[in-house]
Amino acid sequence: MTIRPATFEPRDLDAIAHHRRSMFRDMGYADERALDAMTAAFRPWLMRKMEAGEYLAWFALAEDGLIAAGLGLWLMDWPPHMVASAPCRGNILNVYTEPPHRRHGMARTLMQTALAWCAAHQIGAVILHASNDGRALYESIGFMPTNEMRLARPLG
Amino acid sequence: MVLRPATPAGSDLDTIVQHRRAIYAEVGYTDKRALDAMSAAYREWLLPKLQTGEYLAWFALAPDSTIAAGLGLWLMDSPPNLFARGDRRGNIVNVYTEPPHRRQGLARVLAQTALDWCAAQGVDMIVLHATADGRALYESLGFTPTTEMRLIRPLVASSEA
Repeated sequence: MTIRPATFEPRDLDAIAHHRRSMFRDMGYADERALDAMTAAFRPWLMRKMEAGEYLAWFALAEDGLIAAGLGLWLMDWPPHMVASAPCRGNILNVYTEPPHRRHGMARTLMQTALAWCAAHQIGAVILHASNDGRALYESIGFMPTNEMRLARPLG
Repeated sequence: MVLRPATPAGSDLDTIVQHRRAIYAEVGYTDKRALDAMSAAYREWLLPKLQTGEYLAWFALAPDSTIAAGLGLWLMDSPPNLFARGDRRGNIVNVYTEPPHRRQGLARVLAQTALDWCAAQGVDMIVLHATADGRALYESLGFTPTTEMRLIRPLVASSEA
């Protein structure tokens, strides 16, 4: 399996935005207009973060060289706390594998790549929000549920 | 009950840091040096955010006008998602009531104040991390658990450790 980091190029930005949109759709959000609006709002955010070096991503490539899966690592500002000492925490997001390439361990390899990067850069706490499909993978790596709560309604 | 917003000047910064430290101490962190280090680092993190308005806080005052409880609202950067189109999330933090003033609804009034502020400012999504003591209050305000998961990787100790 070939893994490559994402670069600050339109085609890679498009791939990440496409992964995010597809991920939400696979989680059951069927409102295409809301998905379009979310994607349109996400892309400029992503561009700012990648330009600042605060969003990293890796892709797993299929044998034909096309992107088969992707994973993002956002280095988010986080206040000093008692759990891990670092000026920021890693936030794993936009984990998506194209349907024909599922069950091949691509997400796991991408995750290990991101965690190795975090370890090499002294990032001691990594979070994510798990979909039902992703939970078993994350548990097997050692992720534990937190006590986060949210107040929000899906946008129409 | 009298509420007032925190200001970046004066002793409010110290009060917020003290609330944060007290929360950690009450949930079982007893290492004084670690609490001191966290408090010092947090103060440095907080000051510029109080000054720019990225962190807001409110206090509930006791009848003698001393601070009886506090709550912080950090307006954190976040990727647009299906719950919030903007890139600002409310993150409610450092909710603390001094022991003599508990069970009087101070935290609820503070939380409602923060939620009202968010509604007025178009902050669509609000998150927090609930202690066992706080969960019932947040549930009653409509908060629901998320699927957040966390991995803590102990950092490699420095060579002098």
